Amino acid sequence: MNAGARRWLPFLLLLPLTAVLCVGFLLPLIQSVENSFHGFSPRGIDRSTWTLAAYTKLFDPFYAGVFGRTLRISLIISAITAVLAYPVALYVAQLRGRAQAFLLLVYMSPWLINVVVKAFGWTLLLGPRGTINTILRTLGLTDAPVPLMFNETGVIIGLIHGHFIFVLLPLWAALAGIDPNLRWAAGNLGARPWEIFRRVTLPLSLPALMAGVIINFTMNMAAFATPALLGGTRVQVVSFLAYEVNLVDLNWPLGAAMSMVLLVATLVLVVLSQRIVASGRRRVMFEGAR
Amino acid sequence: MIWLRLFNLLMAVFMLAPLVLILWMSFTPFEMFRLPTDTLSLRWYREAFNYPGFLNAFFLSARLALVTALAASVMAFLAAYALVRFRFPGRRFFEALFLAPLLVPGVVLGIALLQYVNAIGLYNTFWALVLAHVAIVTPFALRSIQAQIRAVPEDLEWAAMNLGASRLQAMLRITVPLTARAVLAGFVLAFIISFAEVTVTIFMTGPAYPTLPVRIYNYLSDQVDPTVAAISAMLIVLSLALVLLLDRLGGLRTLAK
Amino acid sequence: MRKDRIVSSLAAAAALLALAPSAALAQGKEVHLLSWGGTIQTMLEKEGWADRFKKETGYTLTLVPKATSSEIIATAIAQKGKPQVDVVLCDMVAYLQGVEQGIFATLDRAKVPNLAKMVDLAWVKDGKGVMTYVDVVGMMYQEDVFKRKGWAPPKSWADIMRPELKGQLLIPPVSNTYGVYFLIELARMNGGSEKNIDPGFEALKKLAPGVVDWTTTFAKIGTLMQGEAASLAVFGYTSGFEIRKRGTPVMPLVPVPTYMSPTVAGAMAGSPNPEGASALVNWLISEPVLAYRGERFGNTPMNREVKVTGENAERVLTGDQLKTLVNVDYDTVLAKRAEWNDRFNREIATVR
Repeated sequence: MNAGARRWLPFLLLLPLTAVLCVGFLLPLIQSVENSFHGFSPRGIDRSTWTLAAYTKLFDPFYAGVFGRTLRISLIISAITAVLAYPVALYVAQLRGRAQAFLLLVYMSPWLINVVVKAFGWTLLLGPRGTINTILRTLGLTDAPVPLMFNETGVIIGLIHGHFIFVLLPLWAALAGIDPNLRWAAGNLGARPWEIFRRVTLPLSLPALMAGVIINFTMNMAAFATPALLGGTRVQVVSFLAYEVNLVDLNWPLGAAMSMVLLVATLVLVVLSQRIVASGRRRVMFEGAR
Repeated sequence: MIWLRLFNLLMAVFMLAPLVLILWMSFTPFEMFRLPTDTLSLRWYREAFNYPGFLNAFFLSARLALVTALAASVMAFLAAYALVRFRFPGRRFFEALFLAPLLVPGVVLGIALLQYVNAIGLYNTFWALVLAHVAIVTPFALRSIQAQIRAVPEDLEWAAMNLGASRLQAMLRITVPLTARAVLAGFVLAFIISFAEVTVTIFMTGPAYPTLPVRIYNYLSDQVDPTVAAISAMLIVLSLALVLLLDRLGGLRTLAK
Repeated sequence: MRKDRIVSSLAAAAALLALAPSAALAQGKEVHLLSWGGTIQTMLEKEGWADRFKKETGYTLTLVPKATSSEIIATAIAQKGKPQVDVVLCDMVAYLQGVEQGIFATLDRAKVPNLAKMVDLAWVKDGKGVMTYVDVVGMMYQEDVFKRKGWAPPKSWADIMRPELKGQLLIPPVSNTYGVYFLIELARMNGGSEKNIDPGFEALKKLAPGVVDWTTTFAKIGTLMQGEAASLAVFGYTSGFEIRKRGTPVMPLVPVPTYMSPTVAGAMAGSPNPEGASALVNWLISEPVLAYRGERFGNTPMNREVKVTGENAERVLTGDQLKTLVNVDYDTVLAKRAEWNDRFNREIATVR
């Protein structure tokens, strides 16, 4: 293949997706970005003026607090999910075809139910008089109901449940794809199961784990329905506030500015984490080789 | 191994708990989201079938999710291949672009898309939904495919090319089969996100294309009855049947091997 | 608006990528109603009212359903200048936000003859809209729980401050229409008003730790009441009856002073089918439609000639009762809506 073809080939491969993203995402977003620099009054967006008012408004400690809470909750959920999903993926990956497919369906099943309906399911389960609290009371473990809803606990439970598959699926794909001969060879060379896991399985599945965690994290950052339904107004996350600002206040400039900050902040975090993991992976690989 | 199995069992219980409650509740004789105690009733299943709106919405959502997932997994594979195998200017930009769509809160993207598709005359069309959904789901399919392509040694492709294969042939014959599982995972992720998407779709979709989640969401605006629970229950049973069917056809074994 | 044109022509160029043809708007014979997807959709599609409309007027009625008034009005505003809908039907407060942004046309008395039958109160902003029916802001309480605990049944707005009700309350947040009226009542009760809202927020702050959830939807109120997660809720009066009818023993009541929560209909400015829009507004305020809303949901019709019969008839307000309703200073509400909502989110929402 000549050098010229090599130069344009990647762009050719990127073209279909980029084109779709332009129409389905980028161009509409540009309108929003523009909105974020306009003034606002109850009469609507004032397109004749350009201002940074929406962004300066976000410098308020209140908004910083909401961003901080969103970030904290998202990280907690991603961390717990990663720890829970790894053993599950290990187990699922070594099952036979049929069992594997059925278990994956189990983990996918939360997505078969509309998020609003699911929230009602959670209410029956987590509510002050829900199944869990009833069990706890019957066992005599508590007198007063344990608050599992309308607080951060509820949001975390709901989102671990809802976004679990995003870590599990890539991880499963990677673990199931590892050539069993590799582990067999390592075993033949005298490595113990734990060592095989640490030096072969883990390094080979790390990129997929990372990919899954990043997807999971971004989903958590942008989640709207679950925090709104299980946390209520008490657990204000960025998306919830963006919803209110856009729909109740109809303040589209502020809503757009909020989204831009969320977008940029999350992207920066993701890129940073990738750098850190990339260097970490080199270290793991290096040790593994030794 | 026993611990792993036990842990997995616990997690499966956690995953299924709210669903089982909804399933159970769908047989309620009451007109509320209330668990049946002594009698079970099929009235909400009858209601669900008596209202063609839900049935039509289901078929629309299934069609949309299928088209979206097909388009998304193919395009995501091509893009992931380019991002992993080539070094070119703007690579970082593309990576960021492909991750961005689900990071913008649904309301904002939804309103922006509504204004935009209205301006370009695509309002109330199926293709407007496809465009939006592909944009939303592809990045997520892309991530897992990208990770898997990285795990396929490029040497394999070079070896094929040395033996006379073109780059395209090398990609199709070597990389595609070796990453099939990740592409499948990407397809599944794309399908389920598209099938469940509500916050963006609710704003941009026209009256001719109410997807099932949007329909359910709207239905609960100023009323409540367990019809929506019955629909959810049927979805669970339907996907179980689908997996069983695939299994019968021998699809599952080849898929996991 | 030149810049807009540049953006849209850029957009149009990009749209060439998508080969789909533009949405075919059935010329003249179709009329689009932007409203709720709940009872309104069930009524139109399942109970055959859309067919009746077609038989009476010749127009095909298509509903563009949304879940909340805020979503309805945001959708309408997003189509400003090139609307795809003809008529909007939603809550008063959200509707007024739309009026403020100039998206509604003035209704024509000649083309909407039923306007002549409406009570004076129904007129919105010099004909930019018309109230179709109203609900009043009410409370509902769990009769059994109150009896069991030996509490006196609530009677007035002030009862909500009773100390034993701490941890028993469901109250709509200020982002919700009912929440706005409740905030105003709290302010008035404590010597304030729409223009002096501070006392209202102070009262909310006192209530906040005892609120189980700041609830926004009927479905959630119903589920939480039925699960006895709370025993007193502030919401629409008709919702209380609806929940009771569905088997949860709540008792609805209307405290005095009484606030109404109107539903408003109006035509979009520049609507694709202005004739159809007039016909639809006329139909929405006609006797059969409003009698149905009254008989089925207990909504009070704003059309003087509507006679509501049946079990819900007694809940419908009489002409005299309508006169005793509180007049809310909507101009102030409109000007302050964003500020109040912001203040609620900062000071009240997160209080435990």
